[in-house]
Amino acid sequence: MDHGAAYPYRLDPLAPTFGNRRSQAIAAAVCGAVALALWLRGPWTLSDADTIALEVILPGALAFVLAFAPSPATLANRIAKDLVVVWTALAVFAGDGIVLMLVAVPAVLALAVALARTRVAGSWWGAPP
Amino acid sequence: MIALSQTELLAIERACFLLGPLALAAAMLLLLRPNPREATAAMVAFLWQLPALLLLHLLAKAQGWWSFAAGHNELAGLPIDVWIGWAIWWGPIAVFATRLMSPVLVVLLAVVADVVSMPVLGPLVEVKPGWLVGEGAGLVLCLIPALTAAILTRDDRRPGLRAIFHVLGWGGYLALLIPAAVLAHEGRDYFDLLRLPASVLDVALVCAALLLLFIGIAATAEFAAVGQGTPIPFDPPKRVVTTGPYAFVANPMQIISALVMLIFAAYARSWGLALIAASFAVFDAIYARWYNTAHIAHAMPDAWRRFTGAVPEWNLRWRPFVEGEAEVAVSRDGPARWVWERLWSRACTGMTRQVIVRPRGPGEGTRLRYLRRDAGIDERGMIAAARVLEHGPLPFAMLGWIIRFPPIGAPLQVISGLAVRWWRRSSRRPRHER
Repeated sequence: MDHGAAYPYRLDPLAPTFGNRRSQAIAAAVCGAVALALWLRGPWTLSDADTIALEVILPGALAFVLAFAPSPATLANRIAKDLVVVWTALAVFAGDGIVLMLVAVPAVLALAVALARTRVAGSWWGAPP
Repeated sequence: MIALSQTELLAIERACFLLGPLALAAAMLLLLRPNPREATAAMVAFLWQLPALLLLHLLAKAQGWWSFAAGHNELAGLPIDVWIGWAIWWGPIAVFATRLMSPVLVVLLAVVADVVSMPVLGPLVEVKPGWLVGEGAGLVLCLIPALTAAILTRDDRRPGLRAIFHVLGWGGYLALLIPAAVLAHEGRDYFDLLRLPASVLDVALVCAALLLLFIGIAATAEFAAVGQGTPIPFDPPKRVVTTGPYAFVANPMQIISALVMLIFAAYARSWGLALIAASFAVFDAIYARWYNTAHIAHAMPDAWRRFTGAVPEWNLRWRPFVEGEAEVAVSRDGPARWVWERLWSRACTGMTRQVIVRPRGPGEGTRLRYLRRDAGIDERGMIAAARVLEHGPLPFAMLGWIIRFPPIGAPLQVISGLAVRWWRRSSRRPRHER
């Protein structure tokens, strides 16, 4: 066998990137998006709690957690991670359209692969950590 | 004391059922700091739960075990927030909890939590007589398989069993969850897909889908048997798999997923399912292709270069790519020798490539043996014969995959074993006694 249990990733614990400036900026943007989405949906009533939880808090929380996920080793995956965080954060505004946003995730990943081939990507997303 | 209306109470219950598990899972992620294998295990459990819980809900509806007050944001009467929260509760939370206690205790606590809470969860849930049977079904269909698959993934054990979970789980997405969600979005019923074929075209579509799904199962089984891994990118094969369907096309699972969804779209006359098929195709053709190049090619450059140089990504080869040689050990006078000399070598000359036939040595048992050292394959009996067939052109290879399909291969192995024993006994008897 060519590889063991530590393939394709090492068995070190996953450490969140709380100290990373980019992660902090993206997480702050996610919080802003959630706040804006909540404001746009106002005034709320208690009977909206489930809809807000599903359509705003859930995508917002996922985007926030993913923003602090460890940085992938490859450029395309680093771009993919940031694009997926932004895409998930945008889902807080989508309402029922969230279904179409889910279907479009492969296109977002394809965009990451395409962006990784450009010169701008290397300077923006930098070298592997 | 705040007096809540039924609608408000229902909305708060639904929100809590989503956000409670989500917050607990995030806290456990932060405190327990799982490694990538544990995180993959948690993801496997979550992914198992989504189709399994939907199936459980459909069963509960049919059997009258319980019902949900939904009204909006629901799929077939299952509130989506409760569904996701339940999948997190019986998925990542249950898996992370195995770091703190035994899996048996996790299951017991989950049962206690359900038995205590479900009867008092009105107006969201209304339990009906016999609901404990549904609870048992939930354990068998959802919690126990998810925990088992997750623990095996975490510990990197029993790839064959993991492959079965992946086949069932992905089958649940392809045949249940995705069509049910898309057809509901189109205002249609899931059972539009499950209707009986009404024309020759329908029959052809069903046959094509079944054939493709079968090849997909064969490919997943090959990942497990040869690569000791699964189709999940975070738990991949540990060597480049070049046998089974992979000897004919490099991306059988990706092609099959997109094609099966396209067939479902045609069968259900659904543009939504056609869009999903296109989405699969985009993912497979761009991201999955890049992922393979970036990861597998990086980890196993020589084997990957040889494989991709010989096997097309999206087209089928007529004859298999066979790297190295296979040894086939045949007895000097058994039925396999008879088949080899009288049938195979006459009818199929040139069809089996790179096969070295040698007499079976001592200690190699009493059955035909197929040995392929480069791929780590060592099979006996009918399964070995099936492996020999896979050196032939595509139809022969497909026959081999059918024979190796466990529900078919296991009884065939027993029957052929009995036949070999009968052959030997009758051939040992003196001629005048026959």
